[in-house]
Amino acid sequence: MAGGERAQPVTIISPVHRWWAPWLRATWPGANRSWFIKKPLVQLGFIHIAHWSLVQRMPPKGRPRGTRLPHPYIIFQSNFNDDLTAYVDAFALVVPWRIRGVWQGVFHFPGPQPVDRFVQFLLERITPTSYYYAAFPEASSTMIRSALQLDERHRRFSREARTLDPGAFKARFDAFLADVESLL
Amino acid sequence: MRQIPCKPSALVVMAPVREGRQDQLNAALEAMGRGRDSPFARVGSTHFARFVLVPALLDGDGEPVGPERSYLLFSADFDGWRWRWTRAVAKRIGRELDLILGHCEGYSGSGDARKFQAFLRRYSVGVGFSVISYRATVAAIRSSLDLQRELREFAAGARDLTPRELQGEWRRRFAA
Repeated sequence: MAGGERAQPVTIISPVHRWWAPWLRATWPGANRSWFIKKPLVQLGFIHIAHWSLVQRMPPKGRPRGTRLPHPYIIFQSNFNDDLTAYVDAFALVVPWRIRGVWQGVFHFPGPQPVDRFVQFLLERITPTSYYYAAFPEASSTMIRSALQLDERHRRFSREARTLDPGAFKARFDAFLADVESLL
Repeated sequence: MRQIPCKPSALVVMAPVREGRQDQLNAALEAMGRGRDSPFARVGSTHFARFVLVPALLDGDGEPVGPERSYLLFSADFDGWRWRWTRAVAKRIGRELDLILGHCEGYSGSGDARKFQAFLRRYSVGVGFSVISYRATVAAIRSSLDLQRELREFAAGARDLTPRELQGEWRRRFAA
């Protein structure tokens, strides 16, 4: 990653025991619709977008059916901010049971704790990204979410401020600034 | 710009690299423009894109599984329908994409839309679980980040203005 850029990629392709694949296929659809599952991950503030996929055949789709791979593989891809070790660390500390729900079936999975061992386990399995593009490389996930919230509140303020006289406008503007200070 | 809530869509493609093409593929990936010069910057709905050259699939002990072969993982996050994004990609950056995907088995170029879509479908890996921290288009995010910067600058310079000047300046910059 070039210095100063905030968004960066990580890709981890892990072989899993064959018995683990049905669990993932059964649980992912529900988990993917559940804000309860995703909320702590979003609140970590590291992730822009992350995906987990399962590949079992090559080609993965189409007719005739592809050849079965020797193992199913979980492909984890994330676009995240800043430091990778801190990111994985936070994962293990904040959402340990969610980590088990995905990676428990990976060969030699050590569990999310102790954290150092889990971080080492993931770092050793990273496949380097050959090419990466991010539309907003300088913006962290938190910065983008703040900007979107600010935009919404500024639109509301604009509607209210349209008809105010200068004195009332200043008072309303000062209140608006105080309200959005953390988003600026 | 009015924000339109829009969850980015994803494409994940994993295809075998033609035998003996790994070095050429690596060279092609290194030669591809980066940052603002990236071809993906010309497809304005693209949030993220990546290519990952996977030298070999590994077994549980970290040893390559046989028959040993390499794969190319191509993935992207973008606004709107997948078919619309892939059509835009083929049209605007097809030449650059051909230089990369041309090293994969079963790829016959982006010129024939039907074959291009068929390749992407055949080698696409479904996304099982996703975490997406914001629901907004690239254009809306860009506009919001611009507004954030402008408001920050405006707030810093607005302290000494009279109420009338403040209102006039705000109207000039934000209410036009």
